[in-house]
Amino acid sequence: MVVYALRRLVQTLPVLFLSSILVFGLVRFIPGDPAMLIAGPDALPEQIVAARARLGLDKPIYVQYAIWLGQIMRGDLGVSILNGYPVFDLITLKFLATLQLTAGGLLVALCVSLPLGILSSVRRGGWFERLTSLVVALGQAIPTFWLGILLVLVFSLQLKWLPPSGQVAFSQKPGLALRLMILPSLTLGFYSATVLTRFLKSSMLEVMEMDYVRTARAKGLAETGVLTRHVLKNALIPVVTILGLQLGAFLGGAVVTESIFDWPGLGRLMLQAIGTRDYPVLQGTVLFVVTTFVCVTLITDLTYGFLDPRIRYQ
Amino acid sequence: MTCRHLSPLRIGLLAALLLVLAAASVACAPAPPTEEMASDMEEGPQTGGTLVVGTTDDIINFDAFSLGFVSYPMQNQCYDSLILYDKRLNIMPRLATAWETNAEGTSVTLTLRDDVVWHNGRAFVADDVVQNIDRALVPDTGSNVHGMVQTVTGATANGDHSVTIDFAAPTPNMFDILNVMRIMAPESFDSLANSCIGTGPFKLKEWIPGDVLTFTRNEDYWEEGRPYLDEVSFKPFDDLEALVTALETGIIDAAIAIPPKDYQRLLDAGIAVDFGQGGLLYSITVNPPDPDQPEGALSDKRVRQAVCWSIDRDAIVDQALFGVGGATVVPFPDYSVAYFEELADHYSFDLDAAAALLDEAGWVDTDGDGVRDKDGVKLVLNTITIQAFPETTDIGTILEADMATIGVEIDVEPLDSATYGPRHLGTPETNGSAVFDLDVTFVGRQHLDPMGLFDNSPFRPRSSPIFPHGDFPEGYVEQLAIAGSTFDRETRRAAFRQVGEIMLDSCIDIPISWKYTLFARQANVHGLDWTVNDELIAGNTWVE
Repeated sequence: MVVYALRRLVQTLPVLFLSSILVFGLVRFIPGDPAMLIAGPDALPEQIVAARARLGLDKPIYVQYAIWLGQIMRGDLGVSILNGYPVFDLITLKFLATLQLTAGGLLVALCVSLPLGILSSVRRGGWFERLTSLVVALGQAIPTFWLGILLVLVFSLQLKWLPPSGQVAFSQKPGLALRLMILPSLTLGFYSATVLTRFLKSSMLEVMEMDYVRTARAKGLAETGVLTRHVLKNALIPVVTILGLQLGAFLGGAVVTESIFDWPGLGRLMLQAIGTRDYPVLQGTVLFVVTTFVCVTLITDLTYGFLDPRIRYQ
Repeated sequence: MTCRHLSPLRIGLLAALLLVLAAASVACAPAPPTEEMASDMEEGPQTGGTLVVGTTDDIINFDAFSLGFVSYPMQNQCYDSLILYDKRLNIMPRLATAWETNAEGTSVTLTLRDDVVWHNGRAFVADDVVQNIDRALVPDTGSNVHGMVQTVTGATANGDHSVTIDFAAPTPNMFDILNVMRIMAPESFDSLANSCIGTGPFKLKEWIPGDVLTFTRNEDYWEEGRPYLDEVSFKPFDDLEALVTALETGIIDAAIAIPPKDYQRLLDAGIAVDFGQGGLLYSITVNPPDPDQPEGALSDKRVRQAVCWSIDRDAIVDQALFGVGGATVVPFPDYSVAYFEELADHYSFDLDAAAALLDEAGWVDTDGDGVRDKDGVKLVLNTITIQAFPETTDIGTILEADMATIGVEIDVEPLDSATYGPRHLGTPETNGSAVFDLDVTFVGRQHLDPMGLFDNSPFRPRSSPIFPHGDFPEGYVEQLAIAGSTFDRETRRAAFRQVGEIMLDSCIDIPISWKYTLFARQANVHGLDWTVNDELIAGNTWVE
């Protein structure tokens, strides 16, 4: 498996290289000019030209790319063209907040999807399955921004139970940190919960029809044992794939959720970098997100072996 | 009982129950003390505490010469100016305690405080002011102040505590320049991207870009007893709704520039909302086509005047600004030397007059599709607005609806800041020519000396993006030169009268309403203050 993992890692290099070209190109296609922001609202033409030269934006685009790629090869993501902060430091700072929100979103997704998925497959045709189908349909139809605003209106403004926005580190104020996490975690995790529920339910139903499940029952195993040891474990394999994709998306920064809840994570960093056309920050962050996504996918693939020993890595 | 004996139904229910209990136990944690729970309030300012202020944007850097709206949070916290206007436009001493102009009005000598130290402990001296003036005179480093110091020829230190600033010509707005120009420590010029050394009431403690900007009390501040606060933090919100909600729930103590639409909502929630000076002006800049594009509809003055007759200012103030404004046809307040009552009602909302002008100009609806045309070209006006200020888009939408009734299509295009700049100012690629027909924007500083309006890019005689080839209406540049180079009130009034008539007749600027910056604060926040340009001053603020 180690060889397999190493081979997969090597395979990611061309992916990252192509991503770097794509990211650099796309970012430069966004209309707008950071030199204008730096030069100020009523800047004179000569001031704008000077700001562009200072930022290196007057060089041909391929030269700018070569300079950036050279920095990346040396492990340097560059500095923000607006505030001079090292991009790597900014990403590290924001990634910790994103990690915190990811944990919350994942917890919500799993705590909701596991019971709903299992129970709706076991109680097929009953009111519980119909209710679950309704929740799943709603969860996939409701836009994240709408749900987030609704939760703030109800739990923050009306009931005044929870703070509406912000983030503090657990090490500083653990109680407040937990309270601040609830609404964004629910907003982030709800959609994933419904996706996972749907996959888990259909996967469970499929596995329950398998011969070995019938054999297990015929041997006289208790239903709980059949479900947990034979059905659930095998049904989880496709669910893990979906979970991996969702996790990758969470770690990439939930732009909408982070904006609604003023959560200082990677999503907001990217949004702000787009708003100010801070090219190094945007390029560095997107490249980091792509790398994270590739790594999560690899870990997901490796997880299959633990769930199903029949899977071998060659 | 072990899990082995739990049915799947029970496992599911238990998991769901645990989740609900966990959420409820946290959700029911004690709420922060409410206003009613606060102990007896003491009279007068209290020292200590932290003020958390919500903003709509993060700062870009600490360059005090960058006068954009995003710079407002740091300007008066880190830095001081030489003088500062009070709300009645009286000159108040700051770093300068006295000032004297020569008889010709071509130089001003300032006496500086001798008890001021920079945040790094070094004494503040006259040479620091000289170096700041020198920095402002260089286009690359002068940022927005550079355009204002065009008549300054230099500055000279007279010892450590006196400085003389010289002008090439009499400069009636010289104190406006001193009012906006904050003084930075010369040793910080190279590190303004992410740090500041000033003489202001607060020192920079921490800046996490996009998250929080925190200042801490300057213990060596020259103004005795100030500041009251231990710390002041600025938190940028990407989402305006989140900013307002944070105020309502007490997450933040105050906010700068809340949207007009939330004014009443905050009052209803018990939040105090104060109006700023109202020095800014919502207006529509009209961009006549370049001389090499004579086919452009706006090259015809009658079409521009038709737009001027189509502005329903009352509806705009009522519906787009939610009553937070004051309609005006001219860009100067009634106390200004450039204000003339007889010009103040030059235009009204009269769509019939607008339609008649368009007919006269030959723009008629020949194909019956509801949009006027001429020589096969439809009368469609590209109208840019500023996304960060949604009311500008609302103004554009009202104009769109009104002008549609007389056969003019208004194509409203909201732009983010980085895209708005190149369209508003033009770029080297467009030869400095702005890229819009109409621009719903706001301009500032004309509420001080009227020449302030002509520092704003569209109307400045030098490098105007709407007249990139210098082809201004006849008499405009000449009269401005007269008004900007004399202290004689009557001469200035005569010149400003002509400039005002030219602007109204040519319809290059359509004033709409005064723009009041809204400062919101919790009931326990006192002394929140701002300059005549609506930049927040936290040095006088205290919290109960």
